[in-house]
Amino acid sequence: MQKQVKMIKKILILTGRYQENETVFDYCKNLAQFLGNKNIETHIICFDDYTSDETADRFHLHKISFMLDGNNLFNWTMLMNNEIKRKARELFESIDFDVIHVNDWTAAPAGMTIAKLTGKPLILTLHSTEHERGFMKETSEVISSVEWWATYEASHVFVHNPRTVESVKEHLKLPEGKVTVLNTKHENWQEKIEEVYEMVIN
Amino acid sequence: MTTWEYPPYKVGGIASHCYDLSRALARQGHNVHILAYGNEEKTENYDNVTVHRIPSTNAPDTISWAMFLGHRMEKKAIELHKEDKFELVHTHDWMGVPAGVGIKKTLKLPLVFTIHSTESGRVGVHNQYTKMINDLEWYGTYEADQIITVGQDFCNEVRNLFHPPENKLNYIPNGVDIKRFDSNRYRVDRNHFALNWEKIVLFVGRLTHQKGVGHLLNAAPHVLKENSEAKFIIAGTGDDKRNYQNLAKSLKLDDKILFTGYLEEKEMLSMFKTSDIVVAPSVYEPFGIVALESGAAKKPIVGSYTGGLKETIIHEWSGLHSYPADSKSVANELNRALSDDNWAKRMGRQGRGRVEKDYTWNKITNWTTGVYGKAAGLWN
Repeated sequence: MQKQVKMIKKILILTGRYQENETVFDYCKNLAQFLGNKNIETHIICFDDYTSDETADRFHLHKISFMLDGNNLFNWTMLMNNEIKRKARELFESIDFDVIHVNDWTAAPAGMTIAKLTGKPLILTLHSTEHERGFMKETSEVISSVEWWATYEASHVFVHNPRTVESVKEHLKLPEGKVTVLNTKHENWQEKIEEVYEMVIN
Repeated sequence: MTTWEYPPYKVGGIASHCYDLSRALARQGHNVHILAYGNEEKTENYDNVTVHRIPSTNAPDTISWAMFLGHRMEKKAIELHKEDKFELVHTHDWMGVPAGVGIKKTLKLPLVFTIHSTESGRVGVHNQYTKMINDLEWYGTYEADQIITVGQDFCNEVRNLFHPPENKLNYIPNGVDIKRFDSNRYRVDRNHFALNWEKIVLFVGRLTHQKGVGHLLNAAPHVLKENSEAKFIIAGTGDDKRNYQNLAKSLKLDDKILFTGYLEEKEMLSMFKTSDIVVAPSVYEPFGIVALESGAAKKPIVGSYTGGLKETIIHEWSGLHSYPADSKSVANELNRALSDDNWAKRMGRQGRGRVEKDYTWNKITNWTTGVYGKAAGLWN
C-alpha cells in the first residue's frame, strides 16, 4: 500500500530578534508571507523590544515581552526564552503545528524545549555561528554550546552561505547531509525550505 | 524538585535540605524526582527518591553555568513528564530559578520556590553580577505560586527586598534528621584533632565573611586567656580560607586552631559528637542549620543573635547568643560555656530535646505539602 504523503499546514517560527532592516527580520517575514500566500497557517513568536510597530500581513505575529535586564546577552536570552516557551505552549494548546522553525541561538532554547514537549520536528536556521562572529565574548563558549545542542536536536539546519556550512561542520560537528545552504538573495529559497518541511514531516 | 546541589555535591545547606525533604516526602507516599547537577547524565535511586544527574557545560561564571544547567534540566523534566505526570515543581535558591521557571512555563505546572538566603545578605548587591543574582531571586519570587522562606527574620527580609504578595509568602524552618546522627557508626580519631585535656570548639561551615570566621579567630586569644584548654577546629572550605589561615598565623594560634578542610558526611557527624561546644559566629544567617545539628549531637552552641539563629537557639537553655560581628561577645559567651561543664552538657541535652520536638522532617514535610496544596490551588 502506498504511504500517504502529509502536507504542511501549520508552521511556528521562533525568533529572539525581529527588528526592521535586519537580516533575521527580512528572512522571517518573507518566509511567513510566502507560507501565508500558500494558505499555510504561520505564526511568528518574537521578542518585542518596542522599536518596531510591525504588524503581520498574511501571518500571525506574537510579540512577547520580558522585563529583566540581565548582566549579559546570554543570561538575558536564556530567561527571555521562558516567555517564548510559554507563548508557544499556549499556541500549541489550540493549534497542532507541523514544524517548529527556530532562528539562531537566541531562540534555540525555546525551540528545543517546545520540540521535545510536542514531539514536532525542529528546523534551525543559523544566520551565523558564534565562531564566525569572532568568539570574542566571555560567554562565547556557552553560546556555542547552545548552537551545538540546537544543531544536534534539529531535524535539519539552514545556513546562508558556504562559509557558515564550513563553520557548522568544523565547529559544531554537524554532518554534511543535515545542512542546506540557503541564499535568500536567490530565487526560490522559500520553496527549498518548504521541501525540507515536507521531508521532515514525512 | 530542582536543585543544583544534592549529595554528594554539597556546598551549603541546600543539599542537606533537599536530601532530607525529598526522603521525607517519599516516606509520606509522594513520587519524588530530583533534578540535580552531576558530572555525567545518570539516574540514581535512594530511599524511593529518583535522582537524575544532569551535567552543565563550560561557562565563564556561575550564572551562565546555572542557565545552561537549567535548560538541560528542563528538557529532562519534559521527558520524565511524559511517563510520570508531574503535579508541581519545587525549586531552590537562585541557581534553581532558571530550571524551575522554565519547567513551570513549559509544562504549565505550579511552582514553589524555597529561598534559603539572598545575595543582598550574603555579599551585597554592588555590581552587575550581584545585581543579576538579586534579579534572579526576585524573578523566582515573582514567578512562584508560593514562596517558602526558612526563617522568621528572613521572611521579613524577603518581604522587604522583593515585595511579593503576602498570600504567597510562607515561613517553614529547616529540619534535621536525628537518625543520621544516632546511627552514624564512624568515629573520627579525637587524637588527630586535639590533645586529651583539650576541649574542642567546633566551627562547621563555609569559610566566608558571612559565617563570621574572622570574628571567631579574633575571639580565640581572649578565650584562650581564660580557658587554655580550648582547641578550635574549623571544618569546611571556602573562598577566604587562605586569609583565615594567615590570620590564625598572625595571631600566633597555629597550635590552637586546626583547619580540617572539607569533611565527608560521616566525618562531620562524628566531629559534632566528638566536640565539646559548637560555635556559629555568623554575620548573616537566614536559618543556620548548624544550631539543629549541634542539638542533634547533644552539644551546646554559641551562635550570633541574628536571622534564624535567634529562633533556633534559646539563650541559656540550648546554647548562648553572642552579638553578631563582635569577637569580644563571641569570646565572652564561649568562656561562659567552657567554664561550666555541667551547664554546657545540660544545654546540649536540652538542645536535643528541642530539636526532637520542633524540627523533625516529618513535621516540616507536612507544612511543605500544605504549601504545595496552596500552590496547586487545592485549598482555594
